[in-house]
Amino acid sequence: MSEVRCLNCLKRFLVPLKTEVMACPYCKTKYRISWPTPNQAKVRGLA
Amino acid sequence: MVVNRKIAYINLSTGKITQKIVPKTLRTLYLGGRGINMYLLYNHLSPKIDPLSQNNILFVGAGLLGGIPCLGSGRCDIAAKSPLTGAVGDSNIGGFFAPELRFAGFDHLAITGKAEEPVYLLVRNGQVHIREATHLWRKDTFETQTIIREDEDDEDIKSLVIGAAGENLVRFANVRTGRKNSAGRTGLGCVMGSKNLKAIAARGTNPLEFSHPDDLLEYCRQMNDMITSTRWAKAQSRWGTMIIYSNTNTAGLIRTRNFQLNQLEKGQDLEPENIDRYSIGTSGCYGCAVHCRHRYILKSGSFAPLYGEGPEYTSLGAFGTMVDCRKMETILVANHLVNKYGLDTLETGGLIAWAMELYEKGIIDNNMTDGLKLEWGNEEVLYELIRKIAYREGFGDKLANGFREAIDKIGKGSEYYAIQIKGMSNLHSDERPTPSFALGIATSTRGADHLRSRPAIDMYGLPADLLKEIYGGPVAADYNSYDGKSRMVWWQELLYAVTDSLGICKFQTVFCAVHAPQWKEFSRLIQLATDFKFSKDQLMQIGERIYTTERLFNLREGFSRKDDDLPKRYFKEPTPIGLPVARNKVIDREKFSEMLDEYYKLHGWDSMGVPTTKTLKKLALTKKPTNLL
Repeated sequence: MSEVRCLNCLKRFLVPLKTEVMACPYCKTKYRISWPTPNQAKVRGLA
Repeated sequence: MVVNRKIAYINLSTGKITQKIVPKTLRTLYLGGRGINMYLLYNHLSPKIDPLSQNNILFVGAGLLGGIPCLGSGRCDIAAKSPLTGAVGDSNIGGFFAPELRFAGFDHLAITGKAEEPVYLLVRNGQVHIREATHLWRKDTFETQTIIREDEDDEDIKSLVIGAAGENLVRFANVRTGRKNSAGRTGLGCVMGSKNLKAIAARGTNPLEFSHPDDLLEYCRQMNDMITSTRWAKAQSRWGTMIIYSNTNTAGLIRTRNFQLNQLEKGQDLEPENIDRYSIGTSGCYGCAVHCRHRYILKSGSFAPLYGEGPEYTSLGAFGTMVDCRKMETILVANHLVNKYGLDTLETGGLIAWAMELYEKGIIDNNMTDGLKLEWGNEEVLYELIRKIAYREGFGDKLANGFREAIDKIGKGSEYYAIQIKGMSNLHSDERPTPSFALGIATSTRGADHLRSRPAIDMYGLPADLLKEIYGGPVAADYNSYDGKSRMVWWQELLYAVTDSLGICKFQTVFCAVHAPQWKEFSRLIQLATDFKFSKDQLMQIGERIYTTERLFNLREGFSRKDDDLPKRYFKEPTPIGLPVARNKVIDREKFSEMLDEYYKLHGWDSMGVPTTKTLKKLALTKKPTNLL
């Protein structure tokens, strides 16, 4: 799991490893996820 | 450190060169780099001079910590009266030049007059030489550095150079070193060109002597660990400053089609991982553990083969979102062209985006643009217009003196569409949802500018208690809020004034990570390197002195509260798209004015932005000008 910050509500949420698309569990904004390093997720635009 | 580096005064008209040790008193008041440059700028320039006259002085300064093995300590500060704005001209450049200048025995250069023929300066081991440079004129910024190394038969020479833009007195010509680094803003390459000064080369073999070398080395190691452990540095090491694009574009915080949209839709090709198609690795500046610059090769297309370094986040905006070009290749080519010609990326992109909007609205047409169709996303027009600006050809000449003169020449209400402050173009950020950023660009001493304050920490979802602890007073956690944002801007301005005076990289301070080095770490580094002892409060006061000195310079040149303002569009046109947090936002005029009042009070300035007598006394600025150096 890796933590990212929602760019809309600014709350942090956990992303399972290798996940490529995920919605913020709080505000439901859906993001594409990328991995700069194998263990670090990064929000990479709207899905 | 034995703080024994000198300042050299070079008169290019007479050829006279004198040297002095920088006095300790001046170090305790202004540290070095930007601080001492601002002292010199305010005290050595006569008021209201023509920035392109022989009387303008170009100052080059290494930071007090220049050359230590951490925090990107290769930063060099360059200053003069800006030919673009008429205000403080100041720009900071990375790379390797500043440490080399120190190895050569100097911390500062003050260059006045004008050479009859093109020259370059060679600073080598305690001496400054003026060399003939006719053969370098009309060479680009890359060739010039290579030829100087060949001429001097020394591969380790580091040079600050200008390209065609500086030679042709484009008012936003920059100064460059290496393949990537630029002192981009305020037109200091134009000042070099006006002096027939093609380059400043440095080479030295005198080691820096630190006061507590073993402890300093250990502390630098800790600083590098502190930086490389941050999420930002990890991402930045991978993709450079382009990493910012994903967040700002996704949220809707990025200028698109000049200022018509706040998000580039279908802009996926500009996302940073796409540099991987071209990158052959990364490299860094002196003393940097992050290495944020990509080295890239374009193997196809009309400009191939092409080797370049970068691009920065700014390039994605200037040649991507603002002009609606959506291909990474376009960014790489345009980045290469402005680097080759020596043009400021942000000013060039900002002017072209503005011209495209004027063209779309019918304010200018093909008759004015030499037949160029200035349509959004037209990359060939983008490349051609970059060239025309650098060589002052046709429509390019109309843009080459910057916004103010272009507005005068074009008229027809074109001013409304210009995203500029004090005559300087803004970054491609859209500050309508972020009042702190909006205040920062409005009050910056050198024009619309994200690097004087960049109050970004409230965008990281931090609790208000933590923000209060950092900034010493209440700051709203909501980045849409106006509450406490003047405090953020003020605090960050002081921090970066000191950062630039120490000669370290802003990206390795409280710029992108809340637990990155700041006052406490600066204080310790200074003590270990030089034995100067400064508390946090003393360093903040030095930052205040530097910023107030810049303010005094601008006031003397006729700037005032009325110039600390935003383009009208910020107050009238709501952001049309983006996430809810960034959509349908304008800057509230009344709240903006209240923020400005608070900001002046924090600096100790009156309601018109003039430093009070009490403030001047506290900062030892009552004698004007002073002549310590």
